[in-house]
Amino acid sequence: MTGAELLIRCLEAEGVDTIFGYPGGAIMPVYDALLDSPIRHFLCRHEQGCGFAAQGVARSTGRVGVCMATSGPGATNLVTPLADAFVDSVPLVAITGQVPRPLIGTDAFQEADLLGITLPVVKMSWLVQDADEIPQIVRDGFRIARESRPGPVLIDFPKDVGLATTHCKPLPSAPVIRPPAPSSAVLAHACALLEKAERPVVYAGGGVALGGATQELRAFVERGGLPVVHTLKGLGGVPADYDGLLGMLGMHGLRAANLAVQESDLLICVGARFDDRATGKLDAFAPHAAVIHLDVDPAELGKLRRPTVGVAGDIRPALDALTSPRNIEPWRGHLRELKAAHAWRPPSGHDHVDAPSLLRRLSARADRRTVFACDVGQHQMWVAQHVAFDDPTRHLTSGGLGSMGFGLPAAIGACIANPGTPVVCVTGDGSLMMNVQELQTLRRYDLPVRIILFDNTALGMVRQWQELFFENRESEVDLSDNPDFAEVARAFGISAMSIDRADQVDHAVDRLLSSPGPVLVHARIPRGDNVWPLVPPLAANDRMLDGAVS
Amino acid sequence: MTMMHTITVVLDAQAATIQRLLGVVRRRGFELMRLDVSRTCSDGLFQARLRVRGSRRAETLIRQIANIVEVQQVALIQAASIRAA
Ligand SMILES: Cc1ncc(C[n+]2csc(CCOP(=O)(O)OP(=O)(O)O)c2C)c(N)n1
Ligand SMILES: [Mg+2]
Repeated sequence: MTGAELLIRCLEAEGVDTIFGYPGGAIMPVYDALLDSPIRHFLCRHEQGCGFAAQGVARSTGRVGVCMATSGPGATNLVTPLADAFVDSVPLVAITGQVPRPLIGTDAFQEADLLGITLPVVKMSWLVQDADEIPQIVRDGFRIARESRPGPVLIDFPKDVGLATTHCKPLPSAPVIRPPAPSSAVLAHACALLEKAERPVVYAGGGVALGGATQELRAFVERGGLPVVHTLKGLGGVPADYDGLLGMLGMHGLRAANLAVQESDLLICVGARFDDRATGKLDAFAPHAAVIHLDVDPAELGKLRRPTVGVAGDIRPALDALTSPRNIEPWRGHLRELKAAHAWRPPSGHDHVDAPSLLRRLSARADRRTVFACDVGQHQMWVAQHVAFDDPTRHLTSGGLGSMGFGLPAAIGACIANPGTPVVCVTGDGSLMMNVQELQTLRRYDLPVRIILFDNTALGMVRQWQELFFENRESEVDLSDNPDFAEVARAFGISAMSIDRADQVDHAVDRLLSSPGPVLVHARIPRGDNVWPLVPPLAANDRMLDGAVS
Repeated sequence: MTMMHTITVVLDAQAATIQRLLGVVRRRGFELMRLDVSRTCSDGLFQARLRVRGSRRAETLIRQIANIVEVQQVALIQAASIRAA
């Protein structure tokens, strides 16, 4: 067997059935071996698309996503998806071709030091030195990618290792070991705080789903009738119809969510990391609250906010062990009023397409299992604010890195990994163009991804900031020379329609949801529409601006 | 307040181990003041001793170092505040 064949056998032993990749010189032995494997390979049209598609698999299923590229430029094109997976703790295995071992370090054709380039954005990485190392590296790679706090790993694979002969056999996949349970002394301390809390709020992040603790979180909050706010990545942790749910917190969070946190006397942070987009000015975040911080990664405890009680380890048994406050009825009543007072109201008196209204319509009409994959910008925040999620794996969003171009390939990965589940990609006129070539991937594999493109002829989020914080001096945010996106889609063989009036929304949503194949709805929206509320940079979270109500 | 910290680390000696360690120190906001590393061939380990300077919490840095896959052991053995001259 060759090293390349062994690599493929090892991937099969890990249960891999899908790879997103792009071939080239140094990875050719692996592509040859792939021909004799049941693993399905999907050719995206850019390696960045491969990386985000693999993330789409991982984020929507919890399984390890796999992407592959050739050496040099192919491999460097994976850097953004790796960095994105690293900050969002997405389990990913990236396999990159490398020049033959004797040529490493000689500035050979298509040589790039991928191991060096990616060091700060992977959990672990290997440059394979010998074909006999392959089984152990692959096994360790998959284990490390998924265990504890998940993340990406890189396997850099020299061409001559792929061609070498080996007698090694694949190893069985490493058993999944849960992280250690937190100590009971620490949990007792946390329970003592909980029992005397009068104004508790649960601040739930992406770690809930990553830790497989969605059910445990729900049971915990329901036991105590606890109010909940979500981070961007936490959305869906508790179902959208949970009475105590206040919505997303932070810069573009809902007013009631931010006010609840600011007024709280106990913050129970579950799998979140006090990110600046969530906390606003850190010193002024939840200023009266004691903090219980649950995280599988001990390095998160006290990194930004010192917890009163830091609970390191598996959040599942931790959530099961937490007790409830005695009486928080007055607090719940107050929050119910806050939530009602600041509930979203549809704008009236105009006939253009209002993105939030369209998304609400879409959310109400879509199957509750629908996966939404978003791009980055205003439209991403509107999805977070207005689409109801009953499960975090239904909302794929580039949270920590905020990578434009994420949406379409992530939707492709989700669509392939979840046959029969509807997948919607919500994108913007700027973001779509970052990976527009993946429209061809939709066509090639006839994937029924439904794309809703909000076209405000601008890099809207940046334009909004220039308007608010740079005296409306617009610098390089104008996209009024956009192509006709419906024509672009049709050129790829994808059916499309354009709308620009409110009375077309219902029909467009129906068309989007009922289309048997890929479809793009191009919605022209006013250039000046902004995302509200907004906490200005470096301000406390109770200093929300709201252009929609003032 | 800026502090000086002395840290000892035992790591598996792999290709990029020391780069990974130094990358974490720099990226997490600490400045390297002194580094001693030796490698024992018999057990394939690096023994490293670092002096680093920074104003962030050293406990957090220690945990971040502990998260490096190759790290076997890490300890904060000394901390001292730096007086303004
Ligand atoms: C790769 C990348 N480059 C630049 C940015 C900075 N950025 C954030 S939002 C945004 C505008 C996005 O425009 P569009 O996709 O049209 O979305 P809109 O805000 O208009 O809804 C930009 C340029 C980014 N997040 N990612
Ligand atoms: Mg736009």
